[in-house]
Amino acid sequence: MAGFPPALDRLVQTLGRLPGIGRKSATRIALKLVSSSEAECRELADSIVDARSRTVRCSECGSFTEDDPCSICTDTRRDPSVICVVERASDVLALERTGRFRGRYHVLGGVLSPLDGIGPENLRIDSLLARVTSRQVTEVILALNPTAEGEATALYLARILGSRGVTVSKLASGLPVGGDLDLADELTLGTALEERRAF
Amino acid sequence: MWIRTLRLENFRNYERLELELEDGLNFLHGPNGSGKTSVLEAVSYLAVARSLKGASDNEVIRWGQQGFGVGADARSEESSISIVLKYVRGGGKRVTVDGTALTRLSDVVGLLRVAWFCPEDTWVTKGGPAERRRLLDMTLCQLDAGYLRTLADYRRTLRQRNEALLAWTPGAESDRIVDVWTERLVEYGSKVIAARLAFLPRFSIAVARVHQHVAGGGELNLEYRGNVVPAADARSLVDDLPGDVTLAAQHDLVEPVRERFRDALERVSEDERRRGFTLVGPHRGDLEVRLDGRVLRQFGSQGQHRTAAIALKLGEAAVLDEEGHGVIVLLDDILSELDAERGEALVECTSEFGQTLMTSTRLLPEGYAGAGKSAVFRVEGGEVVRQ
Ligand SMILES: Nc1ncnc2c1ncn2[C@@H]1O[C@H](COP(=O)(O)OP(=O)(O)O)[C@@H](O)[C@H]1O
Ligand SMILES: [Mg+2]
Ligand SMILES: [Zn+2]
Repeated sequence: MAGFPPALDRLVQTLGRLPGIGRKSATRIALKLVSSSEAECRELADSIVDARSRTVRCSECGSFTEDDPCSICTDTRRDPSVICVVERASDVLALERTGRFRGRYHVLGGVLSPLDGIGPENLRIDSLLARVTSRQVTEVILALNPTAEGEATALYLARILGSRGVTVSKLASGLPVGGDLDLADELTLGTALEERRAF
Repeated sequence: MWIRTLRLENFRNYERLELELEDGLNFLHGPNGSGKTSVLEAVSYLAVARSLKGASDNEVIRWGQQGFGVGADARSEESSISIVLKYVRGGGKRVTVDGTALTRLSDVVGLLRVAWFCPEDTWVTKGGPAERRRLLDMTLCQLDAGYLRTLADYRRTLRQRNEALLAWTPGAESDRIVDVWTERLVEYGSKVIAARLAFLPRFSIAVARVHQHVAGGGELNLEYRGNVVPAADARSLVDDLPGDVTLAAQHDLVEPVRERFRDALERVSEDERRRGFTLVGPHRGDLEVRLDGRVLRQFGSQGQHRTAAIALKLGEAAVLDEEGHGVIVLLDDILSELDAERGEALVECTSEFGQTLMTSTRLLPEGYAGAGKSAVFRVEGGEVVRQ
């Protein structure tokens, strides 16, 4: 069987490197793209480059934003005394969708994993401690995934935060075990948030 | 659940196979290398999403192909189910049940329950603890999906903790890191140990019963041994449980086990930091098999080891069969390992289970109990023909 022409093949390879896209989907998307108009392709290419150049990390909470600090960190109607700690920026979106949280966020950027060489120094823990000590924070909610690493990280944070006089709580269980926070449905996540437990 | 139709595609030496199986004994015979074991291996993929021979997923893809598929239509008295597992080289295994994709592969475990016995297993009571631990874990995983998840979390945590111990240097921060992994290890590990302890009495009774039948004498007894809860202590913990010891009783065991696990880790804490790995926990557990009160591993004769192994595997099948779930017993080339009398006793024993797949290079001897009722298949060159 003859392969794809080189340029098309390159597109398939590039798409295939994206998360959640296997060879089959990559091929389907690539074929769709090469049979659509040049304007449509330009639009896609531009939107990728544009999004990449405009999007930055919020220096306060670490989530994606165009203006630094982000709209959540600057929203004065939101309660600055409660911080919800999550693994990834996508978790912020998941929790926002529940519409039940009125505090602010802190994105860790991962979880502890000695096997991958990830220690506290590789996560946004120092900036969390800085926020907790310098602002009027009274409660920290740990909303990490219920995996072995997520649980260990939550415990680590609970221990270092516990000595700083803030209340530390954890999302109630009910989340799918081993599952991803950003895949949990809004109702489950909302309930887990409201029924959080003190550590 | 018993398999009605089994399908293989690009699996081992089968390009395509569709096999109608019967309740009771399905007897597959054919020359060496004809594809008998591969049929059983396909069933193991459907039951536990992996090869019970320990082969990698790439190994079982038919040579020159990019992936394989196995499928089964299965039925119990009340319900029926259709399971398909597909694997493409370099991708992941995907399972669909009644047409719906499972989000987690491990969710397939427990739908079809299998007990597998092959010639190497005849030494399970003689060799090291790993094989006996595997037998115990395989059984518990099929009985209880929670056990499977907890065991996976335990293993993951164990590796993380070992890495943390290896990187440990004197100081508060390093201690704190090791400590959080210790807490998680205790959390998952106590549940694993508690489940094993709660399960053992029931397992022991089932195994003793089969052994009585196959060996015609001698009392076989199983006990869980580990370096977290001393044997005598474990015995009194289990004895203290109210009523019948069921898997549900493990919840009452978790707290006392947790205490003991913490203490045990505390005692070896310096040693672990020096040596860089975890010294106590369920990953070091073992199943002690005694025959008439004496440890089989130390004194058993060849024949006693064989009979004990059969009893363990059929005892496993018996507990998996409890509560009417049904079990599929896979016996690979096992008659060659047994004398005629034990072989016949084995075949007879399997008749109490819903479905058995048995392979052999020869036909069943005339006059074997149960031989008349079995479905016989001739396996040759990638084809299976009902006779
Ligand atoms: N991945 C594979 N692709 C094609 N053939 C294979 C593969 N793996 C093993 N085989 C062949 O399949 C045949 C069947 O093996 P097996 O099921 O173990 O036979 P049996 O149990 O009847 O002795 C063997 O001849 C072996 O060489
Ligand atoms: Mg074989
Ligand atoms: Zn922000």
